[in-house]
Amino acid sequence: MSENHSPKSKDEQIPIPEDLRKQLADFQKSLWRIKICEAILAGVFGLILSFLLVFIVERFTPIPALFRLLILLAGTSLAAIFAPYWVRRWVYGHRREGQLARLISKKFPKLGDRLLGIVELQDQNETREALSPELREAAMLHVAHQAAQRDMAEALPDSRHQKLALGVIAGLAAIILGFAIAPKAGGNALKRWILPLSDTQHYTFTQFDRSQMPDPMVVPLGETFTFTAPLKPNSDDKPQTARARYNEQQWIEAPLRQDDTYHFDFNGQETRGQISLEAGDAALTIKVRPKTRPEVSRFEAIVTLPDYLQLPPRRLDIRTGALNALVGSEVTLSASFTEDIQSATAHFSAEASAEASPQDHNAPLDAETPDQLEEAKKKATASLKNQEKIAEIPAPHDLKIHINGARISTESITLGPFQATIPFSWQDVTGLKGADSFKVSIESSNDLAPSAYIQGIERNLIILPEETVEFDILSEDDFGLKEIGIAWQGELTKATDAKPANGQLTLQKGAPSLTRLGDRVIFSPQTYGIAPQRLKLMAYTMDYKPDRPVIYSKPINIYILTREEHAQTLKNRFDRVISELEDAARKELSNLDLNERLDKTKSPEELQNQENQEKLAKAQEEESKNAEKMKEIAKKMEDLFKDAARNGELDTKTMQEMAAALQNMKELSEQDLPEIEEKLADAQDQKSTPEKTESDLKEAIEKQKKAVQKMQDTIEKANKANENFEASTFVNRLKKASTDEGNISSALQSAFKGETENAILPILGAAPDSDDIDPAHARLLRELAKTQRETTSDVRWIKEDLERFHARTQKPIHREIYEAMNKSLIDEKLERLRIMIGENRTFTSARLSNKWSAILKKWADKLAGPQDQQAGGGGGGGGGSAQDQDFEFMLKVMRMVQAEQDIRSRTRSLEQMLRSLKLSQP
Amino acid sequence: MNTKLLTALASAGLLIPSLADPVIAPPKPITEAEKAQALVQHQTGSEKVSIDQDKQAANAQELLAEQTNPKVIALLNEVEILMGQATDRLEDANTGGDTIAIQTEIIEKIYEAAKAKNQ
Repeated sequence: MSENHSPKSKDEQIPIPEDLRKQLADFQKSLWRIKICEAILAGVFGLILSFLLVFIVERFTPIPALFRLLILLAGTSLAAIFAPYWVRRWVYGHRREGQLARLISKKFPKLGDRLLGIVELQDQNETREALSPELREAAMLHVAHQAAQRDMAEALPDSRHQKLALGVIAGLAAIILGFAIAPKAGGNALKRWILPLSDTQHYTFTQFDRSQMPDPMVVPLGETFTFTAPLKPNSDDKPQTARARYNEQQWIEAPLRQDDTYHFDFNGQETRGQISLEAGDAALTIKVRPKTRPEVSRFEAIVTLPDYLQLPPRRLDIRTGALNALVGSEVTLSASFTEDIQSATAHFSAEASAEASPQDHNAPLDAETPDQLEEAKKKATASLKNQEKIAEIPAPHDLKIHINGARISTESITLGPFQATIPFSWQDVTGLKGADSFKVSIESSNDLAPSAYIQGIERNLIILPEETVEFDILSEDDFGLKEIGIAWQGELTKATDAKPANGQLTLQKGAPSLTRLGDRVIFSPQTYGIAPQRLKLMAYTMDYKPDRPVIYSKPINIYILTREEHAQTLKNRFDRVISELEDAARKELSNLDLNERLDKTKSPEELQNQENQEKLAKAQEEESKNAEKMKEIAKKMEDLFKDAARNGELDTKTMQEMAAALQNMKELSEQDLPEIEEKLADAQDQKSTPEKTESDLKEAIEKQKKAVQKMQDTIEKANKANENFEASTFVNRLKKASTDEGNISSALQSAFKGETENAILPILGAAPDSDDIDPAHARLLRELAKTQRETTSDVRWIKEDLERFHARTQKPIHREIYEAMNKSLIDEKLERLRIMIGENRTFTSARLSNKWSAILKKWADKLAGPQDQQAGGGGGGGGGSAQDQDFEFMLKVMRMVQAEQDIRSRTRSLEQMLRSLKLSQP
Repeated sequence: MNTKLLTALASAGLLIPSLADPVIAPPKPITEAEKAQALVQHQTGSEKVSIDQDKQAANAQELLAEQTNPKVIALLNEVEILMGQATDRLEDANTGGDTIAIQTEIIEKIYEAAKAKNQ
């Protein structure tokens, strides 16, 4: 049974009546439609609302990104959370008839219960015996009937979809309106609403161009600065004023400028902060970082000098902004700053330099023939072009700059003959500019010629050939010296066959970096075989500049004399010393007179009054001057004595008298005159009694009398020595005249034999002023005639001096020679000889000059004879007193020392010559 | 006196050439021939100095002969020996520092002899 019952019972399930089912399905559809609609509208409304919130609020103030995100999330949450929940609740939660019946029961409880009852009946699964299907069916029909009489729509829960729809419509309308009024604002709000975390800038009607405003803005520390706020060209609103302030400081207002910018001037700031800027609806803040400006910490120039100098590049500190460099140098400017540098500029501009401008090219052309003139013109043109090329001044331009962190360096600049200025400006990586532009002034200069000097020697000096002169040479250059040395050129003072001296000596080799060279020169004419003549001696120097001529110092003139000429100059010096001594004696005598007058006319008391004290002071001053003068004379006398000893031509007696005079002069200058001065000073002592003053004056007068007497004795001794000196010089002068005549004769004989240098034509028979005579012979004749005129003059003077000397000394030998000269008519005949030389009467002239040479020598020998005997008497062994012998010894020692010193100097000079040879090796 | 000096200088022919400056040829590298010539000049010069040094020795000998003071004699003897050494060196063209040192010693010894004589 049970097997039959089960299927039957299933079959016996009675479904809900179709009408009711349909009614419930309609109810369910309506419910679902309304609630889904509500869910969608609520989601849309949420989105609209959140957008509108952003749109409206951002018209007043920008909403931070996080808040915008929250607003967006809140807006989308209605759609994302509420709508599914709503659908779940109302659609999924009311998918069955029972669920619907329960919902209906909320409005129609009874009907709802009945509906629920029949839904349950429908699903009842009891056996037939327990349940009547008919009854169930009847019940269902009954309920269906009741339900049909009801409007199920009334059982639907309260719906908000219409309100929501209105809200959505209103929201959309507001959005559309907003977009219509301010589409940019709408678009910006939409973008910022949809993408709250994006960097979309907040739209304002007033729009600042932030791309033109650095943020953070770096400003100079403590300095006033200007903040410029530009508006964007497409800014919808351009307020006439804007305001800004630094941190919480006062607002500053600024008007809108024509270029749509606002300029705000702020005071100097020390601390970091921000600028708040407001204009219209726009408000923004700019961070501000006050910091020190980038400063130059080092500025230097790397100067690569021209190759010929062979010097390494120089690194010069030019923080002063001035650089002086050589024309032709390559200069790179390099700077270091306190900050890393972003950009830098250097503008080069140049103008012609006065100092380094090329040399004047208007120099006259040196040419003697048309060909030479043409060539000279070509050279001058080429030189001019070359100079113009050199003088080409670069056009102003910006230098290329290499930046490496905090260092910059320019491209290389080739210096020409111009002066350039290069202003630098820079800004650091924060955009802060340097305080002032740094200007480098470049002055180009030429490689100066080296200079050479001779020091420690007189400009004109007289020496004997075996003497040595010592002096220093010094040379300086701005870069480097190649070598220094001396060079000399002689000039014969008489016409002879000898050639003038000419030579050079390299003393030091330089180096590219040696700017100063010096050396001690030991020069002995005899070492270089230089005969008596006038010698011009100079120091020379060379630097490394190609084509630079050798530079010479100012010359010194060395007159190398024969012993005879030397003795004659000594005689003249002796004359001068005696003259000065006589002056000093006269002065001393005058001082004595003044002092005696004072002593005789004034009483002891009167001597102490102011007027007389002043006179005493004056007398003391005069005495002091005379003592100084005497010291000077003694020094000259000492030098003269040394030179006389060196000359060796003077006899011992003369030397002894000179020594005695010298001794007196020394005593006068060192003892006698200073003692008088001292006594005169004592006479002015204020503490002294009148008697003491008078006593001091008298003592001074006594000493002065002795000094005057000593001076007169000295003059007498000096005059006596001078007479002997003069006598000995007659010999020398006659010998010299003889030598001169001999030289003239030799030169004429050489010419006669055709040995004259550079002469081609024979001298014999050639008229002096015709074309027949060789130019070399014409020159020779002129020189010989000149020498003859000088010799004639010398001889005339000798004759006159002899006459005067005899008148003074009454020595017969001088009278004898004078008369011989007079009788020979030598001066007239020598003059005639001069004319004959001029007329080129060569043979006769040579014979006559030879004859006169012999006569003059004979007179010299005759005059020397008795003097030698005199000298022998004075200096002979054992003949004189012990004092004389001592003097003789001392004189010999002195001469020996002088001779040894000369030998040593000549040895040094030879050694210097040898070393110079080693230096001169290539 | 100045007139006298000028006259003397003029008579010695020293004033007239001073009006003109001689032209000096620029220094040029020395050739081998010039070098050889200069070496010969050095040799000749050294020989000349040696002759003068020898004459000095003769003078010293003469001075020595006149002396009686033993100390002076001893010193002048030393001077003579030193002069001989210097002469030998100069004959060999040795003009170096050693030769110059000997000559300096000669001068010092002569001074010493002069002082000894004064005492």
